[in-house]
Amino acid sequence: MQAYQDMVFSTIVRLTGNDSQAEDIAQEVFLKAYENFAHLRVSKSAGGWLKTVATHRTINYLSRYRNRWRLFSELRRDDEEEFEPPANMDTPDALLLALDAEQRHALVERCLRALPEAQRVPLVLFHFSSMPYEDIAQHLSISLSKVKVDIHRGRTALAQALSRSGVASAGGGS
Amino acid sequence: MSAPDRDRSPDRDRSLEQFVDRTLRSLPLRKAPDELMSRVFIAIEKGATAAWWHRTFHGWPAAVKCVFLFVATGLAMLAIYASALVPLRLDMSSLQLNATSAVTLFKTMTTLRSSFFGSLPSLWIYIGLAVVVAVYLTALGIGAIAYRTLYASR
Repeated sequence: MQAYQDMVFSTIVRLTGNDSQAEDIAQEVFLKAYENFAHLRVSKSAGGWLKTVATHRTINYLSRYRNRWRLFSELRRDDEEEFEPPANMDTPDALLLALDAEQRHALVERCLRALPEAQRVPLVLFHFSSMPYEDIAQHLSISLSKVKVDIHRGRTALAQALSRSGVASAGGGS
Repeated sequence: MSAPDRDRSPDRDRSLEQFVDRTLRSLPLRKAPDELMSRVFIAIEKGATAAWWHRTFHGWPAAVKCVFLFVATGLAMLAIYASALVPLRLDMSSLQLNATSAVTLFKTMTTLRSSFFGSLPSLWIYIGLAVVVAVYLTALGIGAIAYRTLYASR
C-alpha cells in the first residue's frame, strides 16, 4: 500500500484542491483496499484499482459536499464564474521554462488548486485520468456540452493564471 | 455562450489543450503526508478490535449472518401471513368522530389566533416580522462567513 500512497494522494488532492480533505479520502481508500487485500496482493492492476477507487470516492465526496453547501458555494463562486479570459492570450511556455523545475511544479499546482471546482474537476479527470468527455459528464451528472465548456474555460484560466504568476515569479526571482 | 467561447479558433484551442496537457502531465506525484499510513493502520486496528455489531454487515461472523438472514426472512414471512389474515373492516363511526374532533380543534385554534392578533397593535406585528427576518438574515450571514473563513479556506 505504501508504494501507492503518493499516487492515491495526488489523484485525490488534485481533484479536491484541499490537503486535509484529500487525507481523509485517502484513508478511506486504503481501508477499502485493506478489505480487498486478498485480491489486490496478487493483482497486477492494484494501482489501477486504487486510482479508480480514489477517483470515484472523491467525486462522490465532492457531490455530497456540493449538495450540502450548495447555497454558500454558489455565493462564494459568483465572482469567480464571471472570469472571462482575453481572446488573444498565448500559452506561457517561455515563462514556465524560465523557472526551475521545482518552482514550475509548485506554480502549476498552486494555479490548478486556485481554479473553481467546476473547472478543476473535469480538467483533472481529462488530463490526469485520461477520462473521455462522455465519462466525465456521466460521473459528474452534467451535460456533455457543459463538460467541454468547463474544460475549455479551465484550460484558459489555468494558462492565464500561469502567465500572471509566472511573470510575478520571474520578476521576484531576478 | 459567452463571447470568448464563441470566438474560439480550432488552432488556438488545440495549442492550449496541448500546452495544458504537457504542463499537467509533467507534474510529479504529490508526496502523501507522513502520518497518512499511520492513520490507516490505526483505523485498521480499531476496526479489527471493534465488536461485530459495530461493524458493517460485511464484517459480521458467518454464523451471525446466517441467524440474521433466517430471522429476517421469518419475520418478513410472518408479516405477509399476518396481513393476509387481518380482515379489512374499517369502523366508519370512529373515523367520523375523530374527524369532528379535529374540525372543532381547528376552529378553536382559529378563534384564539384571531382574538390574539386582533388585540395586538398592527405596528407590533410588523416589528415582530421585521425582527424575525433580521434574525434569519443574520444567521444566514454568519453561516456564510463561517463557511468562507473556517471551511472553504482550508
